[in-house]
Amino acid sequence: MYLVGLDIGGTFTDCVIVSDGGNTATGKSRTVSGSLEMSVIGALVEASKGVEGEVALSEVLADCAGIFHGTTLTTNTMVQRNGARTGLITTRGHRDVMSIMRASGRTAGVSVDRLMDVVHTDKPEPLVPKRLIREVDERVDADGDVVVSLNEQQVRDSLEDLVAQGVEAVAVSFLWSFRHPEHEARVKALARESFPDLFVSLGSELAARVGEYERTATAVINSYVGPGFVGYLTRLEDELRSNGYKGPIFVMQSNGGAYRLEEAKEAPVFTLGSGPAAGMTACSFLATRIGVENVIATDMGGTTFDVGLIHRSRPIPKSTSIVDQFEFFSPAVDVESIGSGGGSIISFDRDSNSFRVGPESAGGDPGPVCYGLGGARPTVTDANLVLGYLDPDLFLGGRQKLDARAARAALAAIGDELGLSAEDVAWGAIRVVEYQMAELIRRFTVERGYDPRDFAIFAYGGAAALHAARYSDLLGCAKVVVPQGNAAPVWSAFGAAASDVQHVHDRPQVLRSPFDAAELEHAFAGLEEAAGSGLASEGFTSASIEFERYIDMRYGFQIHVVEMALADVPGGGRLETQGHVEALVGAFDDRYEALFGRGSAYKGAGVESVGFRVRATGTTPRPVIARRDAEPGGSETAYIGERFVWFDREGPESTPIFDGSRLPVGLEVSGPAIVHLQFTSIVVPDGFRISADEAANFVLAREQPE
Amino acid sequence: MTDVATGLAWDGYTNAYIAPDRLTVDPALPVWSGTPAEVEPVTYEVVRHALWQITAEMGATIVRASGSPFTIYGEDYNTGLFTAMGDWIYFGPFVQYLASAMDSAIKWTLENRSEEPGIRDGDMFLTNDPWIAGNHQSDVTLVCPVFWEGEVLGWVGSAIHVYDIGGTVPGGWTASARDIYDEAVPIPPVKMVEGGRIRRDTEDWYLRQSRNRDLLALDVRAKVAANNVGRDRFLDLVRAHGVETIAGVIKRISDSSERAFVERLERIPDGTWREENYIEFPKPGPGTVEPVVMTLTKRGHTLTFSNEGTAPQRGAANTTFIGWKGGIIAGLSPLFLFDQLYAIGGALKHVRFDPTPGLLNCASYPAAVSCGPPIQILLTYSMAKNVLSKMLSADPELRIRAGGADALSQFPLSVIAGVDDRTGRPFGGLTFDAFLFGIGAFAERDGVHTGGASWDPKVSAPNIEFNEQVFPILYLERSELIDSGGAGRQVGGSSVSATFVPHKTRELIHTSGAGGAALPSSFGIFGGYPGCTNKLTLLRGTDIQARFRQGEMPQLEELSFSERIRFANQQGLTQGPDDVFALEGCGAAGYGDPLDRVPEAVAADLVDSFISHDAARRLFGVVIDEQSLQVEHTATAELRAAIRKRRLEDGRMPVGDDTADEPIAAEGLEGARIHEYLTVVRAASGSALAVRCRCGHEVCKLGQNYKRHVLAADLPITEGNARLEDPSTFIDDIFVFRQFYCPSCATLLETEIAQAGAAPILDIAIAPTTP
Repeated sequence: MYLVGLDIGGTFTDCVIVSDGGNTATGKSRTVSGSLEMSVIGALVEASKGVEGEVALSEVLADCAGIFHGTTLTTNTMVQRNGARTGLITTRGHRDVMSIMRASGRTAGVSVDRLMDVVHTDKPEPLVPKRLIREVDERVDADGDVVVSLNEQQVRDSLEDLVAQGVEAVAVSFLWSFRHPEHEARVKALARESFPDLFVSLGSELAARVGEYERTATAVINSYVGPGFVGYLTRLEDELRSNGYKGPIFVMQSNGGAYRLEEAKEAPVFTLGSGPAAGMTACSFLATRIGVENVIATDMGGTTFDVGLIHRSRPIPKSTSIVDQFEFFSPAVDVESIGSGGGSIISFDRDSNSFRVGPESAGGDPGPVCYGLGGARPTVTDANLVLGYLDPDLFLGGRQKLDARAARAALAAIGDELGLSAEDVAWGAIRVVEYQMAELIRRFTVERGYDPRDFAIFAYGGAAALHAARYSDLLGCAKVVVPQGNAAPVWSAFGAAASDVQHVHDRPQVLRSPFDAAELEHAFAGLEEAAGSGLASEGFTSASIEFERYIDMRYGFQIHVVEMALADVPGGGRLETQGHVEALVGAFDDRYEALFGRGSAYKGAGVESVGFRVRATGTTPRPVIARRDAEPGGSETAYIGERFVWFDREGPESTPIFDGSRLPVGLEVSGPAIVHLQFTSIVVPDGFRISADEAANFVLAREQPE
Repeated sequence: MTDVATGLAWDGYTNAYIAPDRLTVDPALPVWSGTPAEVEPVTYEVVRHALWQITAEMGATIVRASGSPFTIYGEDYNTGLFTAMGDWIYFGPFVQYLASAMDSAIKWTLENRSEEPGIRDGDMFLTNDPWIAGNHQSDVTLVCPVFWEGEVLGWVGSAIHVYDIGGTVPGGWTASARDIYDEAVPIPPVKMVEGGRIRRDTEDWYLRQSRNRDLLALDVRAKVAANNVGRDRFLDLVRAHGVETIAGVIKRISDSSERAFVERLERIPDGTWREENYIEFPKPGPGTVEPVVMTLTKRGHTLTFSNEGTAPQRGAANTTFIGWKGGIIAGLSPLFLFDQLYAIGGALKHVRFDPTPGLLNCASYPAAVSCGPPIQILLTYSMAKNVLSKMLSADPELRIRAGGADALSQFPLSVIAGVDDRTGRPFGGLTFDAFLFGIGAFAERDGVHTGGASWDPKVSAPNIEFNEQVFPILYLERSELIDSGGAGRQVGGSSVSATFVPHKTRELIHTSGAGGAALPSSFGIFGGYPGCTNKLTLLRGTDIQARFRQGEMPQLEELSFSERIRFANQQGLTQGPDDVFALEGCGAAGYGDPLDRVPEAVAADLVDSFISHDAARRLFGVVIDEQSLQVEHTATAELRAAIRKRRLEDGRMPVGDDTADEPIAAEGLEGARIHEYLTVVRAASGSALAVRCRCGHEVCKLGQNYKRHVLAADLPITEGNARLEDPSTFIDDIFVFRQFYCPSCATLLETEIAQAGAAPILDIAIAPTTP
């Protein structure tokens, strides 16, 4: 029996095949944008070569329990703006909801230092031009009462008219539709009747939450990315079936769980941002496997540095996301990004007679100066190269030769302005970047009410291991785990394979304290029933279904809410007695003060609950991480040689380089050292030690004082 | 501070507090007096970033802990970081004019509280006094000294626009106030937090005045929490890097912002820029307007702002010096310090404020000032943006940031109250629809439709569904308002309209105080047109309920009604179930001559319902086929030629006193661009410098008021924007929309909203410093 995880990235399509015994075979193929399904098959073929006994792909597929698929296709559609020609049908008088964007559309998701330069801020290009928006007479009020009934003739005319305009997908979003879904449902039925091929998204189906702008955006984005995504999934399914696969296909969502291909075709909006989420799922899986409860997951690639949190083995979620400045409702893993990747540009700042790192990025194209692809401005990757942290001949497994001389010259040009050497600038730039990362992580954890010192850092992506020792040190984290083993280069694909099927059900309902235990229990039970029957229809038995309960709470008169996981409430969050209710309110007070400081709670205003949420999980077979047994031998087994590396500002020192794949399990190597891996390097500064564990990870920690 | 020349005391009692250069602080207060270290670039960059993050982190704390819709949607709060003596380090990217008073709160506290009751570690001082720190009484500031090893090292501060702090009108804007005694109490800095604990006695006294003490108490805690975060983070940095290093970074932040500011000023010729706008006292009140004047003078490295020429303080339309200065600082930061994280401290060393007290925008105690922000401060910001934009258009790099006024130069204040049948509870407040206003046109790009404000980078408005939850109302529409943005080569951003009826309540009671209802208040520059006015309308006796029953969701213009009421400044207007209320927010202004606008851009605006066919023809001279919506190029060229011809026929050279209009001799200005269309050249005859239009026509000698040497035409005021209505509903004064044309090429050089018969405003006077 096998499990397959797939991830389509911008450059490579990754595949991991996990067999019963835990053997993890991986494969990569180049992503061909015109033919993604063939990229997938290519990666599958590659990976199956690594399966024990070198079985044929058809054999793997014949004996496969599930294929879990992550893709950035919808994200790319939004970035490249090559989605479907989309129309919108809305309540009369509300055509402009998507262009008004609550005014925040000019700045949502824009980094604060950028939005201060007002002339360079703007709203995004509309996803639906106004001429493709139709208003119909209908109105529901806040209580769900119908004020104006739906004018079906106008709906028919609108649909006909939009289709005549060449629309391939329609979003339907009425005010308060989630309180009275019948009007939107009727539009969908009428569309099915007349235009069975039209892709239709309903706000009330996708996001049963207060807030017409974000709900409408959810429906519009869903329709915009829908037809392209459905076409791809259909071709993929055909391709897999023709190769003999009969089992279920799951698609990764931004909440870190998966859903069935059939559901993904209805609600592709929930795949936006699923790449980082799959990475978080992989971290969460690994953390549980190695017995770490709290993790700060850090992923550094060429353009961004992403941070997410795992607390008590659960990735921290969020409920509103932003894509291209559009805010939309989507249950997602909370991952924050700063533009601090290897491509961040180092520049001279005349006014302060100093230099800056970022926010401009050279990205992957032209990329750093050392790539030799035309980049002229030095980047963090150039600085890493000049300081000796990267080997010019072994970057990306030797796929990319790096030009150290060009990198040094570009850094020297900045140094000339400041009276510094190229190495001084590089050294400084790396310090600045590491401080920025530590700052982001610190803010991210503290703002969510946690202390970074209670967490371990996981460092993955091409560049995180170069910097993790120092940012963890700045934060006071006890250790850094660099996930390795053969799953590491295909981390998101591995996360896909490790994911469960997940559905999130919401119910907005305002209740004021004192709460009634039975009323709360009733609200959750209703959600669990709906979610459970959904999973049951997908073939999950009750034994394989798990529920997590969340409640959004606030003090009276507040607008912002704090999401409480009932599992974190003392007593496990049961709601049988008034004592349980008091425990919940007490836990809210505590959480509130953890977030905002002692004395910040104002209990006089009472407590309100404004929304109930159930995260229903259908558990799927787990991949197994192969053990790597302790091997005899000392560090000389892995010793490659020496090179000059800057660990001290005063100058470089000859530093041992180790081949990570040959480092014996359990052996500790003290810094300064560089551990060379297939796709990255680990920088082990003075005062740190590193060891390989039996799950094929590397663990970095400060040397204990003698 | 006491002004030696005038003898006026600027002490925060009768006149606003203006801090002296050297504060008088009780010597018993220990103040850190070490020497800032020389900081190397890495540490500078690391600490600079971390210091600025503190303001953002404090802001995030406020948002999540506060209960005020102003906080959540208006981002109507701000945070700041200061030196031991209250000078700026950074403030947050929230409402700019809210932050700009915090330094004053700290300095006043140092001068007046250091001896008694004393300033100690763990204390925080609260104030809302508009003569010291608040823009109006509802803006409540809490400042907190940061002690390091027993000495004051710096300060942090938070300010929030709170919901209700007492006074005769719910919500705090008392549009009918005669003086401060009709309004909420101004509170000079009091010790609200002592030794880390909120003082029960002070807090009880403070909350006692509010109609919603719970909400007010939440906001006290939000500020305390934010200040705790700020202080702790500040001290973390001190511990990590050493106190001398932190002091060195702070000094360098200020020096860097100062250097950027000065370098930018050096690229601009000296001169004076001037703008006149108006404050309305609408009917059923006096039905008059009063002038507000801003003059900006640049001499070398110094900018001076003056309010001379503004009318005396009157009624409830005033702000103090604090609000006036805040509006100006909010205008300076995005134009000059866009890459300095708005670190205003260093730049302010080169900005002088030259206020005349007792005027509308620099009122003396006991003037009514609670309506200062929606009336005077927004207008001050708009005027500052315009004079600064005209000034920096001389520089090829800075000019891209120049622009016409944003919308909301006057806020259509409109509060609803009543009893909600759904809960049986009273309600009251703003719907915040007006926050969906537009940003003014820039030199090289259009403004932003419903894009918020440049003085509040993160502003937003609530969803309709949020408002319908909070208030018993039902919206008929919320839309981008056609023709609301000012015309121009680049157009101003569209504003918003919102229409609603009472729903599940007997009636709504409206209290309003909307300036800019008779005359446009967002002025364009360099030929750009103004945005539309604020408009509040009540249709009485409509057939709305019957239409609902018939399955219709009608729009305003489709309703039958018995009476149409336009109002601006009204108390207690009731709206019953058959009455429909509509709000239109004033629009943002345009930039440049609308006849210069690319015709295809006009067609695109038409397709997207930002402008009407009528406006396309009349204002832009663009003919668009009604069926295909394509530009008819030949017809457009003919129409534009006809409009230019009419300009030359209608325009007259202004006459009148020209004696002060002397040519000046100046070197080094040749080639300088002093206006979008005007450049300084060597005069064709003689050695003087002249001002030349882009067409080559020599308009006048440098130093002369160009407006006296071009054609002027006074058009009816309603020509200024397609949405304008007859101002006589609200005012009796006669105003015109005045245009100035190049007598040769007929380019529209400038527009004015002017009182009939008034002399042209000398808006640009390049006057090089004589050595």
